[in-house]
Amino acid sequence: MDISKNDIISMTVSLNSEGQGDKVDMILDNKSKKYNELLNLDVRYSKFWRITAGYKGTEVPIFTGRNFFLNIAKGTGANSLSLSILERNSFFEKARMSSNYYSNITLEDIITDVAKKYLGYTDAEIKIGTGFDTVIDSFVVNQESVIRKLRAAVNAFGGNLYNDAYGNFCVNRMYQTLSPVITYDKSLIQNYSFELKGVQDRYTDIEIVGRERAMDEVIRDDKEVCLGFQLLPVGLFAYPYVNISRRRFRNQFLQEKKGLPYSPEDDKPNISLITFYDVTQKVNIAGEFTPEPFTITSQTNEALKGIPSDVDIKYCTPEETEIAGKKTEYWKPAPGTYLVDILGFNDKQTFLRVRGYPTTNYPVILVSTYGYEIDDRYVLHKGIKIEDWKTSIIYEENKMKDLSHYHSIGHFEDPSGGGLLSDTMGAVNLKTYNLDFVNSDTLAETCLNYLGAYEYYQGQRFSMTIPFNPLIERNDLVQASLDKTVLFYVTGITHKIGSFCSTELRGVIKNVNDSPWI
Amino acid sequence: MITNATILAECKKKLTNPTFSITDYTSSIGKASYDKPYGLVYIPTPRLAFPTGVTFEMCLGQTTEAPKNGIPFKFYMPDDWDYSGSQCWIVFSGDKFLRTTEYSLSPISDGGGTDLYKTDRVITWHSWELSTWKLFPNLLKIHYGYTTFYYRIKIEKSGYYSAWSELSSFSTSFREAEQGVLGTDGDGGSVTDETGYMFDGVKYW
Repeated sequence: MDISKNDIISMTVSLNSEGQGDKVDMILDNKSKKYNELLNLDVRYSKFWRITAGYKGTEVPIFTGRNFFLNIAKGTGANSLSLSILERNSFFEKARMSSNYYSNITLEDIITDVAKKYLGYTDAEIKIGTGFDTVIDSFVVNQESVIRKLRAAVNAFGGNLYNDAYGNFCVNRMYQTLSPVITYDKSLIQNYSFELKGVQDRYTDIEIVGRERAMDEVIRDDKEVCLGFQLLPVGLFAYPYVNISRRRFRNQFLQEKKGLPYSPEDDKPNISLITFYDVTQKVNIAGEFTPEPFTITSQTNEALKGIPSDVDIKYCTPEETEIAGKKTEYWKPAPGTYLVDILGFNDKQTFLRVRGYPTTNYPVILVSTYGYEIDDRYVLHKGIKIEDWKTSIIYEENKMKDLSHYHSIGHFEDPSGGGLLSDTMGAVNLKTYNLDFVNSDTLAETCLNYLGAYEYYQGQRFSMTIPFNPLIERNDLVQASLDKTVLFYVTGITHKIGSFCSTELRGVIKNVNDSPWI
Repeated sequence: MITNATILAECKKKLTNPTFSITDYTSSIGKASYDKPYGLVYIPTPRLAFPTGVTFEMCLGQTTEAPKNGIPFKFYMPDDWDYSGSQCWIVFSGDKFLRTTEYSLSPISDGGGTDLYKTDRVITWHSWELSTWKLFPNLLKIHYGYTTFYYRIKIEKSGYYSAWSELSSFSTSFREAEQGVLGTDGDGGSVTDETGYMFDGVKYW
């Protein structure tokens, strides 16, 4: 069914990307109950309306929406209906949902896919401007409002997201008008007002907290180090004696010996077996030597946690312990028959399976794990404790977000006299944006700049009421020629249609430096 | 700004007399009908039941490359939901942010409890020969080798999908396999050869 414009008693079209979404409120004359059909639930959710307006028979769309609620208007009996038409994705302002994971595609592609898959837009209805081609490595809507998540992402790149008068899904850079400046002389402005934030109402600092830094993103200078080692007496019982007690030195020693043979030398670091001269073969209950065909081992990371990258195996056998008439052990790189499987790893240890060692000459195996150590700048040291014969660092996951997450922080200057605004105020009024798709400090800084500009502009707002103008859209740059000229970007529009028709424009002032309010 | 010279000229007058219209635009924009608020999504979102926060012990032999039977993912659905013909998508990774993911598609069966359903046993773990492992970049090493696995699921039926479930995780640990029966599988059957089974402390799965 159509709604006759003659039955519309009054109508307000509110377009405001900063609020809860756009909507149209109207009062319909329903004396003959001809609009009672609109009370049907099926009609509520299936109908889609377009409102056009203009002059002298020429009209342009001012709103296109699809969901509506209505009720019998109170106080007027059954003679009128109160009807609200909402923008097409208004449900998603508050509804929580989860999306696919998006990896390594541009923000523009993410917006397009989400808009098509979850919001029901067609390709032709998605209008994305330039400046949204940054590649995001991980983006997901996780039990939150999809439209608010997208809007937060778009805002962080200096844009705004809204439905235009045609019902298109628009993403454009804020403060970059798409149209020529529209000028209004003072005589046409019915009323106007400035809304200026005082210094005391401003944020002094803005902080961007991005995605948590993943383990692979906080490795220390990409240099492979020895994470840990273990002696596996697969054929012999022996107890490992290490003559350098500080573990980091032992790891450095093993790092230098990766893939190389070595024998202990006097006065030099080495790893040897304390009971090597009295080795005994591993025996089973029956008294027979039973070499294990494979061993599963968990190697504890002796320094900080790291990502394992390689494993080095050395072995020595009783037959090769006597060199130049002197009893000593001789460690050789294991031959290719020794096989290592990486089973997995976590923050503290690496799980390995070692197999393929010989069953005849009963070796002792030294297994060293190499990898990339986590940078301890991202670990909060709590202290040092004495543990038996050694000291060790006590640490835990760092909970300070400026280290554990991608991060940037900026400080506003005092607009009156320079210097930090927080110094003028004597206090920090911090606004934090949590943007879990920000995957680098550089990107955090980029977003900081855009959101800093946004906060700055919000401090100087202007609004004015003019004769009804259906042509103006958000992002338009309007010039109000008052005693001084005010240039402002339109962020919100309200059309009031009834016995008297007007348009209220709200926006942020562009020519702030001119102080047009003075 | 919408461009229209006639309207622009009129709206710059002090006294204006605008006209307006409202039309049914249902068939002209977007989807012709709006009976599915999420577009392709109308199946209820599954609520995860297992494994969440579980640590599995993998029982490995000399040549075990993958679990013998994997694990079933279990989830709850509303009591009026008909699971026949449904499949379950599982996405999992050792990377918390799922920058690299593996997908698995499994049929669904009755999970043996009120409104509880389960997938087939899905192999989520593999061992890697050192020579292969060394070729992985760090992100892939985390994706394949980190012993905590993050996952979530969604339901597919007749070409439609549920929303994704919440994110959950489980962990793995490892030991050499031993001879003997040390537990039962998820269906209550005795396990006689534990090589390659995943043991969560209560049952083999």
